[in-house]
Amino acid sequence: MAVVKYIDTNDNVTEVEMEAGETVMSLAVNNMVDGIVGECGGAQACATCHCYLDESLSKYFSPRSEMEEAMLEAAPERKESSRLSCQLELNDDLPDIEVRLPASQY
Amino acid sequence: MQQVVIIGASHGGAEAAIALRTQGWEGKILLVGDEPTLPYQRPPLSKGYFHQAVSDQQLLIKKPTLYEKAKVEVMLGESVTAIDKANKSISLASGASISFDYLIIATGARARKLSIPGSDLSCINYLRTLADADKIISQVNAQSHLLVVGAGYIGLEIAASASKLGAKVTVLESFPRVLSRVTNEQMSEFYQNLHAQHGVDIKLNSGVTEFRRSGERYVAVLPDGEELTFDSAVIGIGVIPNVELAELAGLECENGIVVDNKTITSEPGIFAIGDVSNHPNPFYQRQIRLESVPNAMEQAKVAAATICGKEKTHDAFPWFWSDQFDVKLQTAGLSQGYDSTVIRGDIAAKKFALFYLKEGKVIAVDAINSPKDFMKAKMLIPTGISIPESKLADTSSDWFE
Repeated sequence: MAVVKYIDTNDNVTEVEMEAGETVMSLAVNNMVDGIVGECGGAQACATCHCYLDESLSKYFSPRSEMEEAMLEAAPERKESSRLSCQLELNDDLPDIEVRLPASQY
Repeated sequence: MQQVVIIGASHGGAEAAIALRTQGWEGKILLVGDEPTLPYQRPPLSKGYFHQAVSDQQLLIKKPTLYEKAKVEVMLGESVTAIDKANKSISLASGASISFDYLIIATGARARKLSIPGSDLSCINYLRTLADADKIISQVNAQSHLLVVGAGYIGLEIAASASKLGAKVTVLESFPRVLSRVTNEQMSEFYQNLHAQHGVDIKLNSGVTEFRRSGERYVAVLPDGEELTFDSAVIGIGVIPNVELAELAGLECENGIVVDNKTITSEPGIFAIGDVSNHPNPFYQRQIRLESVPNAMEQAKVAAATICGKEKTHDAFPWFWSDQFDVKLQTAGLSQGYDSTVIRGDIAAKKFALFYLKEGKVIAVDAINSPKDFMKAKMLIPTGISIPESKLADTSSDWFE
């Protein structure tokens, strides 16, 4: 079974077994992973589930919507690889996924 | 073993239960809720869940397995009847008494009821719970006429969702404009136009004086005597904080349960969080009570940290969102007391921000399909910003630079 690796700013890794139907955000929330808040429950309204997804993994997920792009544009610690983890949907065909988390969500 | 008891299993209660464990609480955690379901997200009830974009499984705030993992005991379908602060215990409707070392009250709010002739008919609904939503949804379809009483956020979101399902929708509002409690005239007009474009009939300066049955359908009598035939109605005229348990226990209450910036009530060891709490806000420098999921979550974390002996105060800046048709509103701050407003962007294009100022200082922003303005405002307003109105209005450069 593939896993999602959540890596904080100190390089501490929390590994969680993937579950189809979850998002990278909800999987974190349901496994007490610090650093992903998800205040709005996935409505793209808060950007408290901001994460960094390596370019090599972006092909496994749908691209940013206009709304996600606009939210990220003003998010703290914005980078090229920024994503809202509530928009990263997991399924059974994915390999291991690694995301890094910004310091501001701790 | 020590025990934290949490009364109320919604956004605040669920967050507090899990946060206690992640913050290091080693004792027992008991979460008591009077609904039969595990804690679920309420905002989608009038939006995604209503128009069937979100399933009931997706509504759950935390998965069932998380409560097991975090060793949180969840007691559902159980009402608390009393809090005994001297003996540090609560009484349940089932007769049992449970002792606590710390108590978190997260009882939220309930819908304000309309009391007119016929308001107890089975077609008259309120939306607060999943059961409420399921009942309303079962009465709404492309052939039905839904009547919404009250043009606040809940009323307008329901109107938009029902309209999406093809229903005919009429909204009755007693004030001369929609959202009058929370926005200015321009924003009210924007929402009135938006709903009109989608065929929702909003009647302002109106209301209802009586409901009655008329064969298979129902009739609402308006103040001017007009009679409207409809199939089901939803009343959205505000909420009342559930303070009764706290009041009976002798905790200080005033428009909610009064707490400090650590969410502690007038009784040490007893906390109150979420919609039921009346708490200090450092930016507006007054006590406020918010009907807000992010606020409930933030206060839950503060209560949990405080119980675990950690230093954390509640100073989060209020924010809200509302989705109606193709419009996402994100609000940062509270606009009450503003003395001027500035529009930035294009109202007709449904992409603009409305800034509320008081004595030259920005105190709140309503952002329509403008997440960047919202995000910046949410970060910057709490720091105290005075920006010339001309700069706020000028879309050729960023206002926050």
